[in-house]
Amino acid sequence: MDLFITIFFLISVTFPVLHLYHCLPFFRNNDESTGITSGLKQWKHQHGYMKEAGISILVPCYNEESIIETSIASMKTLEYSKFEVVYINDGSSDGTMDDLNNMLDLKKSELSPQGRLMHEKVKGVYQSQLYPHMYVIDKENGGKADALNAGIEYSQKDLVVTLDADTILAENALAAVNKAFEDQGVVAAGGMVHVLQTKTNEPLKRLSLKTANMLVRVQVLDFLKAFYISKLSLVRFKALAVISGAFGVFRKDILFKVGGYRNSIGEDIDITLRIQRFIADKKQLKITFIADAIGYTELPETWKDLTKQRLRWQKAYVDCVIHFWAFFLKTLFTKPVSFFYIFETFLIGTIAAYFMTGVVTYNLITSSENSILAYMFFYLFFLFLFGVLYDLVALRMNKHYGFRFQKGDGFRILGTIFFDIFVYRFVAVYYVMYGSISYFFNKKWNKVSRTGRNYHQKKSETAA
Amino acid sequence: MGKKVLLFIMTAGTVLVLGAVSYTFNVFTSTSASIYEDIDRNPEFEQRLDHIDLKDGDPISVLIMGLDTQKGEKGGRADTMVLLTINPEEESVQMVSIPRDTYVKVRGAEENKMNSTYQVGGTEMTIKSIEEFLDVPVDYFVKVNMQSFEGIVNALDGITVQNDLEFDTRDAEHLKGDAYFPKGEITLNGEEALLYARMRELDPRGDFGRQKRQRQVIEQVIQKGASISSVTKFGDIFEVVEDHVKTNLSFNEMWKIQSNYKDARAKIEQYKIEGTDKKIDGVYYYMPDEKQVEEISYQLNSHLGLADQASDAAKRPMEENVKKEDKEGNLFTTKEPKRESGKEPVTEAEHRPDEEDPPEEKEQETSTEKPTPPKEDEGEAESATDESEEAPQEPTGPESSQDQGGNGDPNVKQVITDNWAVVPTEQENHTHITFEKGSLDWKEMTTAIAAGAGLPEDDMIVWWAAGEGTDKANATVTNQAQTENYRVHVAWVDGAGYKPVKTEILYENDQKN
Repeated sequence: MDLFITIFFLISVTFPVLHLYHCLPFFRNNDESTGITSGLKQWKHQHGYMKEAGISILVPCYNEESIIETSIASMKTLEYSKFEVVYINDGSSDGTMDDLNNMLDLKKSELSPQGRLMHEKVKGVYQSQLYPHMYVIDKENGGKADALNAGIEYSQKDLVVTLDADTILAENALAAVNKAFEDQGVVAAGGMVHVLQTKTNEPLKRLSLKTANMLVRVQVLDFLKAFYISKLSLVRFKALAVISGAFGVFRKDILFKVGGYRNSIGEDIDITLRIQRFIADKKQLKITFIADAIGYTELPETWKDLTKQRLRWQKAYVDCVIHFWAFFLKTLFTKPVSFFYIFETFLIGTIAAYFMTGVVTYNLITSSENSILAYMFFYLFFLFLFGVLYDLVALRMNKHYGFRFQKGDGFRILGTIFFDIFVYRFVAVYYVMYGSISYFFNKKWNKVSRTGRNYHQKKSETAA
Repeated sequence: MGKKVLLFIMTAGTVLVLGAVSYTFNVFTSTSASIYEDIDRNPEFEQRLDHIDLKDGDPISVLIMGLDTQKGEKGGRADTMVLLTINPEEESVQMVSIPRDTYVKVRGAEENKMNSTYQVGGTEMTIKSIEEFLDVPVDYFVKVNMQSFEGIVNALDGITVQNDLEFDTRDAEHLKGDAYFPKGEITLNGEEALLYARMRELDPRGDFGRQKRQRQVIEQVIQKGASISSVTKFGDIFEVVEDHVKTNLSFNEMWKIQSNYKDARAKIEQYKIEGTDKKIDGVYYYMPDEKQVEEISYQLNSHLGLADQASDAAKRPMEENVKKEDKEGNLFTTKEPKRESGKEPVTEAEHRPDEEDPPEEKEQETSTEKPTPPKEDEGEAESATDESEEAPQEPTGPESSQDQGGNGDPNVKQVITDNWAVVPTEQENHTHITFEKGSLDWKEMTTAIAAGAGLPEDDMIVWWAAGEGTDKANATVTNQAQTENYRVHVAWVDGAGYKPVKTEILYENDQKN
């Protein structure tokens, strides 16, 4: 039993150790963007020498009236010439459509669909009279995947950027996307997602924890770890399984080739895996991570909302294990994406959570002598130490990619690290365990309510 | 590609290091968990254990018990009992074997022997009995099953001992296993070491010889064990001991002892308990020589830094006694090398014919005949000897101690020694002191105490009474008015009864809390 636990423990730390090393700049792929825009490129861009690919930004909206203004305001600031924004109102029951109309001054548009993807009935297509590059598709409710499919159908550019309604792009994000897609091998990419609640008026340099509550702070760490360590490492292995729905970029033709989005609980995992499956036998095609394309997305600020979101993510994972089972099985040891998805996320990340909880509980109940606990504590100590190290590396990576926290955030970070390793990680395990089971009983898409903060206004205030 | 290889090497390396660390930790904690046994302590010594600081190198005592447990059998008998006192400051260890047949009153046992205490009351009772017998606190115990002993020795790559008796276990009926042990320095593997430590029938010194060999083996195991420096070696030993050893030492304590106490092994002194054989109700017993037990007790206590606590002033001169004998090299307490010289007064040993298990019937208590333990088969009534009686080191009597009586205790106002009369006894078989009110023994003892204090019995309050060994006691008493305070020491005179030996007049009643 002891040996078994030891081996198990080692397997559990193997992947984190691997990612920890692999995320370091030393292991950067040759074709990877460095995250630092050279002076020449900047100059070329500013003077119109850069060839700009056309980009369609798709924003599905379902009852987003509280955040839509912020979204529209941010679109106005993007420094890019050849792009359009398509808001897809997915049958909202609130005033989202009215808000869009008021802010954009909509008029009927003659845009027509390409007719290659299925989606719910479109009630109307509109173009803004104030900002001619902004469109609105008003359709029957069909879910996020359905809304995205409709958006793809009506979009006119070659590159598709998918955003959540609460995602705000940094000014240069599209330029960074354009640069990354100059490599014709890149068929899809994930952008770097920071936390909207920590956005400052220097969105490419500074983050601030001051106004964020502890729950948001700990998610900031979580995101830094997920993007700068885990996703970065997985991309380098060609094993990325999730391009975040908050900020993803795709070549439109690949979206058509894989049949668009599947209406499922985790459409972002699904589309990524579809693309991975599609390019599995096409060596020159790849999915990448654009570290210098920055988006900010709003995170849940209450336990209730966080729980909804995390349970949904976990359900999405399980859903895709089942949906892509044949692909995973066939390529388990030949394709990194299958290997990591099954071994890291599913077996070690999910099944092991039950196992470990079982072992700990069993030992707590049965061992009358506290000594069995001694090595349980030893492992916990190990994991805590490792957790701290992981957090610190993520923070260091954050700095490497040009971000700094506001002065005075040091103590907040310290507190957040403690909260992370002593509280949050256990809650996260609970989400994994509960979510996996509840998938089989309740596949509902629990939409997280927006906070209703006005980030646009806040920005102007701080700027003033 | 090269980078990927490097990455995998780094990851594998890190994971392996983590694995090695956690595995080691795991082995240690789980083993120390499975061998850990907690026991209830004698309240008299309970506090002592709490105050022992192993980091500071406080002297400690450790009882090593060798259990003869057959597979599937529960309990078993504690056939080997060796008490060690370790004093790192003096860099010395003292070892004393407690003969397994030592007579002690064991409630609920058929035989009133030291080694039945384990069968009846487990480790707890054995320790309490030894604590009472030697009046020495037993801080820690290590119980080793004989089955695992082999494995421990093997894990230490064998041990080397100085054998002073040539024998071949093929000649022994009671031992399974064939091995020849020549005289001189020999190296033993686990199996041989076990045979070496168990053999009794071929040794003319009988159990003494065996006790000595057991101490030799334990000493060697300690010597080798203390010099272990590699963790893997510890792992080997821990694997062996996991199912066969029980101790109240935690892993942490073992670690500290290994690192802070190992220099003490530089000087290992060995003691044995002299005594006579006696048969009661058809059962063979070993009746230790009280005086000598007392001396050993004092020796051990002072080695533990408890000389003051064993405040018995009477014991003080005995230390001098011991030391003197030490110089003469003719003693009941010998250092190992001297013992080798054969000068020690175990002279009886040489005369002993082959000794078998319990010698049958034995009567006399104080015979001065040459010791010739009875042969088992014949069952004849040979008389064994109280060795100390014939040994030339007869200590000065307790009387001589009394001038120093008050020195150690500021509460003592005056010490009185008188030639008190023995309170005649009605008991036929007095074996130990009973502190049970209403018992005959108690009545006789309180009479003696009252005589010592010079108080009428009905004017006396007994506040506290405690035994010192099996035949001595002291009591703190006052008159009813509590204006006069005494500490009276009484002793049992064999065949006669209790006799006050010393009375200390106290300034105040220190037992009235």
